Amino acid sequence: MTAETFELLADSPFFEGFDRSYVTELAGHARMVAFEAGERVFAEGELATALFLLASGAVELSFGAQAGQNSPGVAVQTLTHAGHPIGWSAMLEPYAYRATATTLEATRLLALDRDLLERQAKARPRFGVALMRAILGVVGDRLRATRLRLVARRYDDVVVAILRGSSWRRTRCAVGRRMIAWPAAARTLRTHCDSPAKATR
Amino acid sequence: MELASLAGLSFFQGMPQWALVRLAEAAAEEQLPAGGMVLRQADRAGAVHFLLVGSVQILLRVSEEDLLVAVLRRPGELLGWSAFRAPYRYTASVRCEEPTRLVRVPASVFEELFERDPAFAYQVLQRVAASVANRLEHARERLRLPPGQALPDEGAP
Repeated sequence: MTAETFELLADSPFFEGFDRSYVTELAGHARMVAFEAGERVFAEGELATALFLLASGAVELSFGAQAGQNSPGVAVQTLTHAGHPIGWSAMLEPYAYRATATTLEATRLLALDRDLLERQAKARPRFGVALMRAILGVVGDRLRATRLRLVARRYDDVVVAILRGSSWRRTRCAVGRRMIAWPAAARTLRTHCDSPAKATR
Repeated sequence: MELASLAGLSFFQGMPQWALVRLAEAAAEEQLPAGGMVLRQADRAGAVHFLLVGSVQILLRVSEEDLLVAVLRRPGELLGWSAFRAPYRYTASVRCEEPTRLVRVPASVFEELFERDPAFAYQVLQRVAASVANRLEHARERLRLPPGQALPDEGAP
């Protein structure tokens, strides 16, 4: 275990609140993996065997790319914050990655194998509970971010929401070419809305 | 609520009997009219609901508008997953699209059972996360559709 590995895990928002002993145990088994710019970390639909934490660099998540059909897919998120989790599908059935992860620059990722995490969860059930709550947090944040993008699409192409990071509070939106912070973005959404899709259909 | 009814919901299938008995004791069926609110965004997430019959709208508050982002109609669908994660506040509102029957389970009962058996907690949380992941996948699929064709239904029966 290197000091860098331990610190990355201990400082990661994903493992915030975890017992120190759990983090130490994970650090002893995690492995650092290096990628060049433009490399694929994993592809949507592949067997999900590891959860990654971003150590350095940048990773783009996309989905819906179809080989041979000239379809690049839809970019979901660009991850640049150290400690950000990538590949949460490794912990949920059917254990297939639900997005494609591609590096945008030279990138290092800390890999935590599913076997290791499941072994730990079984041996130390409270670790498993904390892990699954953390996974739920990440998936929930992404669901909310995706729904916000869907809402933004309703506004006659004036608004394109670009969601960064997993935290709702850190959400920023690009309106036209101007970067503005939430909730100013929300006010602008309303301003640009001729006939918002309201609650009633 | 009757044990057999609760155990019949797909979410609870395969779960231990002792946990189902306690959950059924605490669970209550609710009947709401069209337009009735199941839960409200930003409220403390004190309960988890499961859809029995009917359909519900998921509403996201943007500025002062409640915007429709999804419709769920699959029996057994879980509502109020925020009850399982900090800060334990609902992240969206849920409103009945038509007369709807639901099961309400206090979140505190789940937490009581989680404390008693962390392995059960892991199983429940994994199912909750899988349910949210499936909704994420539906929402992403809708992003691929041309604007104007992104229908909000996420749970065809």
